[in-house]
Amino acid sequence: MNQGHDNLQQLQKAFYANPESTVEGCPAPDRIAAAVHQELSPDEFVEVLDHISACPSCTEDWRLAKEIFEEPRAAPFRHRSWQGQRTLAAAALVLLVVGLGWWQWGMRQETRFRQDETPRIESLLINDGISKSDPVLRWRGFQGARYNLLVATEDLEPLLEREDLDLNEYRIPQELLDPLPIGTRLLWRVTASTADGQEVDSPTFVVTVR
Amino acid sequence: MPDDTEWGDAGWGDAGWGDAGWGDAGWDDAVLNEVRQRLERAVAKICPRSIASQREDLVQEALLRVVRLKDKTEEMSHAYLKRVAYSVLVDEIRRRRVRPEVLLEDDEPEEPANAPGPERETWGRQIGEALRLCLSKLREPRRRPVTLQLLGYKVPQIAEQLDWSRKKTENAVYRGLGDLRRCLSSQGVQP
Repeated sequence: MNQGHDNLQQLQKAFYANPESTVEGCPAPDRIAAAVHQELSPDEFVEVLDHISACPSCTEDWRLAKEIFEEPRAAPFRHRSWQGQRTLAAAALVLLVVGLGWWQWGMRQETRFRQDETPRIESLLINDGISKSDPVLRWRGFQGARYNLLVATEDLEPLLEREDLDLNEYRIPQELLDPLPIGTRLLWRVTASTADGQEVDSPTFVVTVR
Repeated sequence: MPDDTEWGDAGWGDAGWGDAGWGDAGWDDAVLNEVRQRLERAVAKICPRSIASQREDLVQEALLRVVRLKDKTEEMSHAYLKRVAYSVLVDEIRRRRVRPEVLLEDDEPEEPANAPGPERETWGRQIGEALRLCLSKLREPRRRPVTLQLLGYKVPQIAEQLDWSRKKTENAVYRGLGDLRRCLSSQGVQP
């Protein structure tokens, strides 16, 4: 388990604590709703945000505003981030195992089967590991493609997201890896936009920080 | 009854809210029922258990506000009704915070099985207070992105909200969280 992200979860829980406690000058509910909807000017928005940072009860009001305006298709943050994403993580790992098995089986087949395979992105990491001193993710992609990259912890808390990369490798910023203990497993996946306009998703790869 | 996902604003355009619904003669019953149902769903979605017994009254209050504000409102949309429901609820929640009422036995909400115990609650309260204190000590450029992260926003969303670059936001969030953790540690709080 990733301590840094557990810690963030704890901080977020603590931030939503004491909803009955309040400070003076609470913005009207309409104003909080407008802030959540980004309908305020930048100055008005930070005014509301500064109040929220000091006022537990308005933090709760903010949460309610997010929840009520959330569309049914998008689960509320607090639920989606944990329960749902754990399930997704499990599903992703199962798919990964099945996918790897399928890939190994496919490697043993006649070349003629390969002709029909859809384009795929493969991890080029050796032993599925990266070192803290050289934390570069590499993958086999496509000529002229651009890539979106998502790296997440095992509990699917995003660690970084990058868009429109033109190389098929990415060096993870040191400050993101520093807090992670050796042995931390990260999930990562790449979406390629190929030169001919196709979108190709990689499987979810697992990499261990060494 | 239409599914919640069908409540796009398109469904609340002129066709649905013509003179039949809003004319001088008053409210068309069908329209009124529709509005009430939508308000009921909006209120039910976020109504805390502590005021669940008042849900009907809150819907009624929301309905009255919609009727009163009708003439001032150019467009009646799903989002507008949700906003009215939200305002009514938050007004009531705030009223209770200021003047908590003694609950009748029947009104008292049952504690859920997974409710935190008193020790856990005290711990949560203490860490919450320490967190706010430390947050108030953060330098301003870091405090706002960290506040949004604590509210559950991700870096790209924070960058959008503050109209900052992703890089600047990422730096501010990570450094701000570092400052916050150091401050908490210095107070003997280990989240």
